[in-house]
Amino acid sequence: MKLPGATAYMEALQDPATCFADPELAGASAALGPLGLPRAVSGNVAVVFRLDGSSGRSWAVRCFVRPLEAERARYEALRSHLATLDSSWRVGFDLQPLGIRVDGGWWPVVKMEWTTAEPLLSYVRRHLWDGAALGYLAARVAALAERLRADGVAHGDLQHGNLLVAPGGDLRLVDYDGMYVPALAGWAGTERGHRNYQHPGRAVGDFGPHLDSFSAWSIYASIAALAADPLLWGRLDGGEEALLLRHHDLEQPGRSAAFAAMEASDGPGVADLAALLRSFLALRPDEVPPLSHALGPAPACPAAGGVPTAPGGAGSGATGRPGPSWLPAKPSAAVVTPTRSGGAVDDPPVGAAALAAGEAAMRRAWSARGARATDETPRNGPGDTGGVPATGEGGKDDDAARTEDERRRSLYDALVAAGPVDTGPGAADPPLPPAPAPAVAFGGDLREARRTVAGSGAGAVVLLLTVAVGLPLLVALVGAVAVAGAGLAQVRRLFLRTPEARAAHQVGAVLAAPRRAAGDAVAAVDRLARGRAEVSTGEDAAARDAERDRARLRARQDAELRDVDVSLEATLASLVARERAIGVAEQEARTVALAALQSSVVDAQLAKHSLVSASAAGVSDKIVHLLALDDVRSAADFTDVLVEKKGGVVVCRDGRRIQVNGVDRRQADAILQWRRRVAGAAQLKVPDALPPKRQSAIRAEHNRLRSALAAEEESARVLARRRADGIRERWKAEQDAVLQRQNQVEADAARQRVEIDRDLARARKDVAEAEWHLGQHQEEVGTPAKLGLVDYLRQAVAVGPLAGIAGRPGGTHRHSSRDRMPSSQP
Amino acid sequence: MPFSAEISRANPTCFLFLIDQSESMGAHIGGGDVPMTKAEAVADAVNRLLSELSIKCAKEDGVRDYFHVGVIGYGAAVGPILDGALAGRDLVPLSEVAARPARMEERTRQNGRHSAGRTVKFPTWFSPVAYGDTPMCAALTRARGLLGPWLADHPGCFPPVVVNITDGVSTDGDALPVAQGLQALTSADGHVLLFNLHLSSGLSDPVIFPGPDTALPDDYARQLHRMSSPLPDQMMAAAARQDLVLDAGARGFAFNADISAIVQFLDVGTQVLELR
Repeated sequence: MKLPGATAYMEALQDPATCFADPELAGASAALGPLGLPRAVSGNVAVVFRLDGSSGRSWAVRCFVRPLEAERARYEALRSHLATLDSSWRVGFDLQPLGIRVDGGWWPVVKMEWTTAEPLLSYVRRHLWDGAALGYLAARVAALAERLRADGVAHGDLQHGNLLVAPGGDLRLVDYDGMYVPALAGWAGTERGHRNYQHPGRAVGDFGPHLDSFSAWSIYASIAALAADPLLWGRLDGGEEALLLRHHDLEQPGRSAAFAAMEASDGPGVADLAALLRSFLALRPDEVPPLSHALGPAPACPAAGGVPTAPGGAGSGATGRPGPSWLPAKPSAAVVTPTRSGGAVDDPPVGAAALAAGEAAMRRAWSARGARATDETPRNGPGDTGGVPATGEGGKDDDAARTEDERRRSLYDALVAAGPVDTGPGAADPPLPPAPAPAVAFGGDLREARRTVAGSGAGAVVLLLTVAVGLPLLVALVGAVAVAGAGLAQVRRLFLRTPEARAAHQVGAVLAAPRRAAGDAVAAVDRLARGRAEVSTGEDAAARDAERDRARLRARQDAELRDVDVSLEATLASLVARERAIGVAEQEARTVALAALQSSVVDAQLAKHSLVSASAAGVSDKIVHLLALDDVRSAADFTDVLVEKKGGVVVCRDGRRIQVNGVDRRQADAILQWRRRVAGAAQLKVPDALPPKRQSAIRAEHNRLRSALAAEEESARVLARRRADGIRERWKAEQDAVLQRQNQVEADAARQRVEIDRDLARARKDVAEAEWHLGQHQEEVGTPAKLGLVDYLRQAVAVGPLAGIAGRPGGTHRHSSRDRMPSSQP
Repeated sequence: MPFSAEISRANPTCFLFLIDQSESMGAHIGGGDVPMTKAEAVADAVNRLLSELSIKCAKEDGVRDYFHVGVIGYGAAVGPILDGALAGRDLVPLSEVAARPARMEERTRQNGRHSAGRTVKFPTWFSPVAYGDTPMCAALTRARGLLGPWLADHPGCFPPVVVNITDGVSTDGDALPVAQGLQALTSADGHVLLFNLHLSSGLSDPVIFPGPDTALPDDYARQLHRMSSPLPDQMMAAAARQDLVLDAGARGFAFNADISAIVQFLDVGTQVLELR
């Protein structure tokens, strides 16, 4: 089942009485944050709340947001082992598998005693400029590592979040989820620990007494490095989920800015510690030697009495110091004593003595920073010259192993040596380099200068006189200038020999390098800032170009689409015309059909009236008979009757003209009248509309034509659509290409900005550092008197030949500020 | 490798929630213990997420600004919808969010099946609204307008995550090209992630984090699927921790989500912080 979320725990904690099973917790109240909600602090696997009991006791309650891997038996083993210990790092803890009720379900909590200690990062930040305190802290870390080993315990996740500094300096450990105790030998591990502190080779299942080796070294080295070189904190973003090193530094030490910075640091011992730590990364996690208390004293540690390896006097400590077990025995070392277990360090000096010692150590650390620039760190380890480590087994070690051992040995020796020399409380402050004394007036003898000045003047007068007696003017002028120039050059030489000029020169020389460095650093920042602006400008330009390209592409696409529209419109217009024509044709067809129908009806009617019936209308039977002989039998068979000269002529329906004897005018009129009457009767039976069947037949016939048109229209539209799609697709490909190019440019620009920002951050730090160094140097050398050659000349001329010049006027304002701490904290 | 930038106070990332406030969000949604509207369910889930993020980034020295957070609503209008002291702000550092909820609401929680409920305080930063159309294009355009400058200021960040929560079709045009424009924004660590959470009032089963070839019920679902970015590794891992079995290349998309799917979706879709 899914664990509750942080918010659900926070809701439950609003009422401890109903959510906790433990009576102490149920009777306590949660510490609240500014909103009146329980105050939470989150780790990776758990949210921690503080509960205050009525009796004045407080507890930290860990509520899990990631599944708790450690099962109950593991916790029981832990608890029973820890109960036997009496170590100050331990805080009481209790796993309650059904400890808290959230939304109706019960979940585990770990209840721990609340410890009023300060988290490691906050402590380090607060004491960043207190080298003594940090040195002392590093020593406590080493002592803690030994203590854990003596207790048979490995914490499993040593990191800033789990290390607390109690008032007085005791270290406390919290979060025992991944802890190893002897009773758990053979079990598998359940976590990898904080990745910024662990050996990259550590696997989840790794478990055993060695778990803390690397992380302890890493913490020790980082704190010791900060004690000697606090600038590393700002430079390496210390405090951001790490002390100084992060997982990527540990995974790729060759590309690590942090290792590079530490190894380039001139803090005493820092480079060696970093190199040592780096060498551990080449080992398997379980091969890393445990952090030895023998290395306890950090470079800037006060190391007053109590720390067994602290030297009583300079240089004496190293010879007696036992080498840790992981180093091959040295031939010259008679006895290699086993690593000491901690204990003596548990009661370190505190209070005024420690503070005083810390201050002294701080001074030494800072002066050593300067000294290291010129001097090799003394190496006085007894076995240094031996070089070849004893194999103990008759020299069977292979070369690679030996050189690796040698390297480690020499690093170790360097550390051992650096300890007493840099940190021994008895070591005298190294003498400060002589600072040039600036003066307000020129010392030394000005008389020679005055004589020279006078001499040059005299020479010039002589030359002028010569000119007056006839030398060419040009030669005279050149000569005069040469003589005066030679004199001035001599004066300048004398000026440069004065102590003031030498002091000024020396100051200039001392400050030149840091000035140049500061100038370079500022220039680098400017250059980078310009570079960043250029990247953005380039990106903007690319964006504008892309926008223009896109607009152009859109315009061209629109033009092509318009063409398609226009031709479709034309097609549609012609289809409309043809549809109209079909309408007209249909009407016509209807008219024609109706006319045909009507005439056929009339014909049928006329055919029904035989001429026989015409006899009643006065047509003679003989004529009827004669017409029948010519197949003219009904009113339908003839259309007209004419009376011509030869006699009567009947016009047949088929156009025949039949001569009929006996048809006179009267007979003809009678026939025609009969036919008109018959025709009039037939007219009454003529339909005025087509029958529905016929009509729908005509409509269907024309609708077929219409649907053919519709099909044509549809296919025209489809064609147009297809063409438009084709056009869009074609242009879309181009637009996509533009977009892709622009994306590429943006991504490149973003990447460049990141790189530049990284460089910029580094460069800004360099500026701050260079300016700080410059300020440091300036304070050290003081401000030289601003006196130049002109002042010197003026004084030389003003001083009478007999007037002695006081050699050394007062006014030295030498600042001895080496001991001063940088005033600004980050 | 993209999506591997370390998130820190110096290099924060950003969560931007786009919340549909259209009329239809007033309809009821399934999957919860108490009947509630889609708008209420979304407001609840996102408010809870803001609280969760605040606690997750709380350290001894206070809430760390690992994230900047914004909530944009789209309905009758398009704009930031945080209330109270943060009203009108679009992208707000997490420490400010944590310190300034708009309201402290009293909610009733059940302790057990048979016990009476009790009241707890629940911070909220904005309230549910269901009024207006679904101008999704305008919302996505707004997101692009916010994230462009933000990315110029944070060029090395873990790419911002935009979560679009909606129950309907865009009413102001085709959202796909606008969404693609948003996803085209990039930091040195990769493109902006756009996740789409579609809600339903119907009874059909939710589809959550479908793979690239998952069969989807209709064209609209397919379009939202196309609009959604693939989940980066840390979110795949977070899904695995929740026992979700996902196809390789699963996308940040849910269809027909009910209340529990909303919570699960937001939980997985905001798992970017791997402190160890």
